[in-house]
Formats: sequence, C-alpha cells, structure tokens
Amino acid sequence: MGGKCWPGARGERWRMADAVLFEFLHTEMVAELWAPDPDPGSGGKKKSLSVLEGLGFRVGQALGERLPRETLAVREELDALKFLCKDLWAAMFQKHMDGLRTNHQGTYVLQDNSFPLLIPMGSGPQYLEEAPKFLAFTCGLLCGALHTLGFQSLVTASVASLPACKSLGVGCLLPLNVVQALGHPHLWSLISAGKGNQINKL
Amino acid sequence: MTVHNLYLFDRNGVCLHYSEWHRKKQAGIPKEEEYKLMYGMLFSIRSFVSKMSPLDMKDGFLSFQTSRYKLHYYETPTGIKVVMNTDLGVGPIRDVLHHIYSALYVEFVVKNPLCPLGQTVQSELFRSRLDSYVRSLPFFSARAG
Repeated sequence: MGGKCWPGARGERWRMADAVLFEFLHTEMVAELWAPDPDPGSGGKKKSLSVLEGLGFRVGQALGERLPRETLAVREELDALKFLCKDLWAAMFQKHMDGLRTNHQGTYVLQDNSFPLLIPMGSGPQYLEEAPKFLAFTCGLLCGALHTLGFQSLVTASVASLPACKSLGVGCLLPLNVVQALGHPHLWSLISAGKGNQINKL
Repeated sequence: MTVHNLYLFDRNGVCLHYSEWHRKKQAGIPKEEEYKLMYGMLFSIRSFVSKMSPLDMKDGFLSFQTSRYKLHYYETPTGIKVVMNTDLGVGPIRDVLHHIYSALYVEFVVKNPLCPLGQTVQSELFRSRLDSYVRSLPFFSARAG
C-alpha cells in the first residue's frame, strides 16, 4: 500500500501512504454530517447527503484533471466509464471495479462486489439501512470526474447486500454542451426512458 | 488441547466482547460481575508482576496457569486487553492474540464507523469472524481434560 511520497526523477506518481487514512477521514465526514440535528424539520438527512455528494463532486473534478494526464483525450462514453472503473477506482481504493454493464442507451451500471467503505460493516443485513450515507461521497466523486471529462451525469447507488455496492447507476451520459442545451427536464426523461431497458454486459 | 473462552477489555475495564467454546463450569455469578472480577485480577497481577520483577521486563505479564487451565494475556499499547483461557497443553499464543486484535478487532470494529468505541461490540461480522478464526486454530478441540 505504501509507496513513494513524492514524484521522483522517473516520474513516479504520488501515492497515498495508507488507504486507511481516507477511510477514517470519510468516516468522520459522515459522522459529522449525520450528527443529531437540533431542528428535525430542516430536512437534515437529504441536506447531509447533498453536502457529501458536493464534497465528492469537487474531489472527483480534481481527480478527473489529475489522473488522466498520460491517457489520450476521452471522447467516448465507454472510455470515460472505463477510466472510472480502472484508473479512478485504483487511485481511490487500490482495486478495480468488478463489473460494468450498459443498455446502450446512456444508462450504465458499475458494480463493486466488495466496496472498501462497506467491508468493515459486514456481510449480512445488520447495517444495510445505514449503507446509503457511506455511498454519497463516492456518487459525487464519479459525477465530478465525469463532469471534468465533459459528460453530464446523474449517479445513484444501491446496496442489496453488504459489502457489495450492487450498482452505481450512471444515468444518461451526454457530452456536456448537449445536456446544457437540453435542460434538466429532458435529462430526467431520458434517464427514466433508459431505465426499463435490458442492461447487457459490455 | 482446547480453547475455553475469550475476553476483550478496553483500557477502562469495559468488557468489549466475551465468547466461550468449551466452558464446562460457569462462575455462578452474573456475567457483569465476572468481567469486573477478571479485569480486577488482571490489573492487580499485572501491577504486582512488574513491581516484583528482578529484571527489566520487556513484555510484562504473559500468562499464568493453574492445575486445570492456562490464562493467556496480551495487551496493546492502547490498553486493549485480549484474554484467552485454554487447557494446559497450549504453548505461547501471543501471535494468536495479536491477530485477534490487529486483524479482527481493528478491521471489523475500529474501522466500522457504526461501531462506537468503548462499548460492547455489536458487529455480527466481528463475532462470526472471531468464532471462525478460533475454531480454525490447531489447538481448538473439544477433547478437554
């Protein structure tokens, strides 16, 4: 896990000293945002989720700029998704995504069978209800990285059984300028139109 | 050879976890009382052993044995105490107790954001992994004397 702490003469990349540093930091971010709200009517949980997603989005934007320096320009949706599954996931979690599927209409399902942020919680239903808040940051991360690569997206996560992150559904990837021209109502309808279709393995 | 039971205490004497496998005789007192007695005895013996030692001690108190069982003790720098009772045929198991701490307690309790530290461990994953690990040990057996 450990590695060079600075880029050397041969251009080694920066590496995180230990993945556990990020895990503990993420844990504390979630704990801080989920602290009991003195005003129960303020929509605290939804707000906390969006704050975590926002943090992830900003980190994803930065990683999107930082990581693909050695790769060619990402023009195709599939290249962008492969970048997420391999490069981004390796940078964040020292592993690759376990699966990538699509319905060829803009909806993609990314599958991680042992998502590192969920592994310590177990493999049964004990903490299943608590899982979504530990996925919000990563949803934002994917969204931010795609934004940097020029794709507008909507990312949602679901967990059917721990520690598998069953699907990180990346909905309706379009080049950024096209989406801005369409506007959000179209984006939503495109996503919902894509949901019912068969999703095939790539 | 056999494993009887295992206690996990924090630095404040809270029993974080208790498991038993081949325990034929109970103490006859409530479990909470048993934990307090065990922790108090360990606290005293550890203090006594270090004070009476004729040489500088590296690891301190490691184990004691009676005519029927052997108590193995491992303490981490953070004050977590792992205590395992076995029969007399089991040799030093410091590496086993260290594994329980580092590969099970740290991985499935400390790293689990939903397990508050300093309280009894509720994680089913920790319990099941600990049980599997202890049952896989070469000296785990029901043939207790």
